[in-house]
Amino acid sequence: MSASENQLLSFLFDEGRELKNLKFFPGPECASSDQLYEAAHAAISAAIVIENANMIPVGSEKIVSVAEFVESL
Amino acid sequence: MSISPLVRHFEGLGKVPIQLPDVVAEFRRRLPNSTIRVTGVNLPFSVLRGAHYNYVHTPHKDGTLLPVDVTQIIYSVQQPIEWQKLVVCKELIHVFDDTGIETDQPDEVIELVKKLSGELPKTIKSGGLQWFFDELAQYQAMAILFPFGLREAINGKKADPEAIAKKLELPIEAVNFVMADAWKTLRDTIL
Repeated sequence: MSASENQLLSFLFDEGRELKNLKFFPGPECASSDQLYEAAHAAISAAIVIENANMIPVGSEKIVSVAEFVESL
Repeated sequence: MSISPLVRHFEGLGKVPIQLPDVVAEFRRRLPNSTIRVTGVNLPFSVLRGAHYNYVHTPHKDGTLLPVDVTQIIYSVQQPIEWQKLVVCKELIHVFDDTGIETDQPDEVIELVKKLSGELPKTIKSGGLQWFFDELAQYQAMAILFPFGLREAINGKKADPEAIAKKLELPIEAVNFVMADAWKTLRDTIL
């Protein structure tokens, strides 16, 4: 077991939380399991301490009807 | 639970682009007993664009009350808004994962990571299918964010895919995928 694998598994299973589900959206340069273990640990450990639980991405394009959208192309 | 009702819901609105706050609200409305947190992290997306992390707090010794069941939808804020939308929608879809495809054991985490990173072949011959449903959710997210009625209205008009992507706030890769001939068959299969 690599250090990064051990670090993520310890985090997921040994720190007062019971894992129910885990899924990932890998990035374009993901090429090894150690990279993904490290990135996952960094992302999850950062996310769970963020108090704002509603950081939903919002776009800036105007909302239009489907007909208006097609017309605009 | 099938995501088909969700796809139909947003199809029925007849408005685009689909707004992610509306998508999150709809997921929360359909799962009133779940705590769904959406958090952006300031980390590179080159290796990881986003994650779905569902856990249950184990009780503290002092009896402190904590949320029972928490789903963290995590995305990199360093990626463009169109990718943020696709990633968050994809990770939301996993709240509907059945127990058989949840990743909740150490060996399942290891297998998922190795298959998604390319260290193990993605095969259905052995092991779990968590990786398959992880990738399937990308296409289901496209079905939510790119209404089929719009696709049919655009199809044949020789519209610029870049313009469609910009106005829908979706990655150009996703737009090209949905506009391809095979999308109808794939969509019918996965919904």
